Amino acid sequence: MYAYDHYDQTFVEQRAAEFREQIDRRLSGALSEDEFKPLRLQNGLYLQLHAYMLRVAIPYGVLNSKQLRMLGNLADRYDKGYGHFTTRQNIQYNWTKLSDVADMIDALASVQMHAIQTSGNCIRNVTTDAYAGVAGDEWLDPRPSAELLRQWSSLHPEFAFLPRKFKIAVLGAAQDRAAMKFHDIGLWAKLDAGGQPTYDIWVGGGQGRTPRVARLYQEAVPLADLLPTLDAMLRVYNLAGRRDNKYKARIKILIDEMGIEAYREAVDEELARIDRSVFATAVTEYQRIAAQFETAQRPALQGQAIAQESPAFHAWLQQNGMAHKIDGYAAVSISLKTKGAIPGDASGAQMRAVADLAERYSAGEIRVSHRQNLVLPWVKLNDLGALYAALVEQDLAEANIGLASDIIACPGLDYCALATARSIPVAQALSARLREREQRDGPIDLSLNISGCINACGHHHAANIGILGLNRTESETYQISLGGRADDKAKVGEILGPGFSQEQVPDVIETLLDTWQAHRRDNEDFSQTFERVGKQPFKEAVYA
Amino acid sequence: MARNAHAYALSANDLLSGAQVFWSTNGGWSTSFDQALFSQQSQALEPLGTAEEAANRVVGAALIPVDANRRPIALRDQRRLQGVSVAVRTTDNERSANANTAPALARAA
Amino acid sequence: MPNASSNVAALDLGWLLQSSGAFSHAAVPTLDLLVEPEAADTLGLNNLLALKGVGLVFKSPHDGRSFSLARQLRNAGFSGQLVGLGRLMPDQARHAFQSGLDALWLEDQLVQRHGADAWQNALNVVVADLYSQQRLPLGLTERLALPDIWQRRQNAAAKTLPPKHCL
Repeated sequence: MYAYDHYDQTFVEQRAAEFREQIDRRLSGALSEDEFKPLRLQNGLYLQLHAYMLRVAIPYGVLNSKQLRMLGNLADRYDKGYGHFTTRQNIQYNWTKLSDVADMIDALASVQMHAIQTSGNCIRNVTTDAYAGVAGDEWLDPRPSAELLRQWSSLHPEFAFLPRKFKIAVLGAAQDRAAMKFHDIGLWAKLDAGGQPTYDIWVGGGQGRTPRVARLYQEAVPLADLLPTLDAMLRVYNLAGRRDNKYKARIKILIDEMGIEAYREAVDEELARIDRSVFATAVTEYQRIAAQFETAQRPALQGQAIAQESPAFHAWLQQNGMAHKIDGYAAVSISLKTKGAIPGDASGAQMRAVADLAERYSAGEIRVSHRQNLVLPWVKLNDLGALYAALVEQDLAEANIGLASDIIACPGLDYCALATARSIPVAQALSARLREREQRDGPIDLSLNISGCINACGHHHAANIGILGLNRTESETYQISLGGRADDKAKVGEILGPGFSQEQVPDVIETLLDTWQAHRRDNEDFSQTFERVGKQPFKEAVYA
Repeated sequence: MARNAHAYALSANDLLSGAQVFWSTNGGWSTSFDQALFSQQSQALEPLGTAEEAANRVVGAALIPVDANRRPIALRDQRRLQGVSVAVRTTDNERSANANTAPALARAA
Repeated sequence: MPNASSNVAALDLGWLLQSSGAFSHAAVPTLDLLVEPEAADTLGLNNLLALKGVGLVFKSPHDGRSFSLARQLRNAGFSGQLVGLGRLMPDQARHAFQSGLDALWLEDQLVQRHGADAWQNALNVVVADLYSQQRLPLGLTERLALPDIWQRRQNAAAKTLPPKHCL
């Protein structure tokens, strides 16, 4: 893992002190709400329906046990005993008081954490594959690139007041497990012939009102050119991106409107002028960061084996385990989607329990996945049985990673000031129904995501079955879309037809699943069936 | 303003706690909707919201249109008044209840 | 003074915060042109390069276009004075100076409301500890010309290396 040195620590502490002082100026009235808003958002602080919400950064989804324990303690001390892991690998507290925020941020700084740029119209926390560094199909650990980007984008002088938020994801493996093509910029890191990192840059992806799959901007950009290129790309966006309508302010719309060729020309013009000496230390810095991640990797282990255990254990490992890059280990996911649960929520006690288990069984390391689950990346094969038993005891052994009941959901109209409908009760009802079905009929291998408004924080566009909560004449209605996906074949789902009431949703989803089963050939996944048979049979079944 | 509105209440978030508050019949903010002041004139409440925001007591001041039974007309207002649909600790940031499970926080220097 | 803004008269007297940290009640600096961000494209970057003083207008606390405009001008070789004016916050001063502006010219009421201290302190906070290389205007004082974190790390690492003959 990356450990802060004196410089990083000073930076985070100074930023915490600065925000404390900004809060004081807000309370004294020196800062108006209009002025305070961008400042608080850049420190992760939102205003929701019932309270402030603090979103804490978990850079590229990596935590150590000490940090997770602190997150649990914050949940108990300053929230109502729980936190919510988000689709951008962060955690948010829904019951924060403005008067507590500065203390919370100080506490975070004491474990090398912060809430910087988890919100606001700036470059947000960079995300990546939750299995970075341990996935079998990985050719380059994306975390050093993500950390370099964290440092480059933190308090970037030009890019703190952009037209709109800006999200970057980095990948270094064959499979996309970070929804990279739904980001403003996606970086697909690869190795050149000399073993040095290069990056395929994808641009203009995003969900929201106008969902777009990112387009390839440039292939094989060498590490030395990465930051100047991003600087130039962001500068053009900052100057030309629309500011008259927040729904048209993302870079995807700029590229739609000006065309990718004109955008590329403008960026090239910028790039030609850029003073590259500014980035002279970046490659050395990357190497320094990468060395830290390499040192933290574990050597292969001999004599490790998965013991014969109960069928439940093997079913769990089959579903939640992941083949490891290094012999002798497995990476294991902990589902935060137990039957009837609120997707992504974890109590303070659960966070501390997972922190303890990570210490005992995973080299003290935990990951947060964009599907709102946790991962223990370094479990010795010999320890799997004991880990499973401990997880069962904590009610954290649900074997449903990647299944239909592993639902992504945003906080919706329970908490969020932007939401148009509730998503949590829908997710809970579906989770109960679908988990039951899975336990009865076997795993249902598809993605099901729910958003409580068109902003699509619940990634409904990118799911095999997407549910979007809308407000139709002051009552909640849920619109369903089919055929979306978030992997390397990323696709936006197609709307099925008129929406349904909250009560109808579970039956409708079961009808869709029945229809898929009826038309499914061999081992087709949902997308394959859907692409072959189209929307019609699903429509007929549901609106019959 | 809203169609079919019989009257309006004035709502906001308290600046410090962020809690939803209502302009009350006592001439101040209350967390209880039961104590909200209702006016048939939206213009009577709007300037009050602006003034209270300017005085740095609240943020996000907005009118709640209600029907004849003083039930909010907008879905968002209804849901907001109902509170979250999930069971949450009702005590307000209870610090002592978890004293046994939550070790003291390290306070950064 | 040709300008894209309509309200030059109101800009006569106010406060000038310079990248050196100097902060004084002063008349608006002599500028050849005031540039609103929308007008920048029409004006054309190259037509501004020869000017001695350019004012960049900030239209709201949410609008960061003029930061990028400043950097663009500097990258294109503009060596005159760049002054930011308009709706700025003390917290944006470091963004301005690191983007290539030389000074911010502030109306009296803006300084009054935020407090002169906040403006005076604007440069003391965090600036020295930014990660990425400083993007500094010409002629900064030593206080601001501290190397960024990356540079300092490398300097420190270089110092801890053993002398060559020991290797």
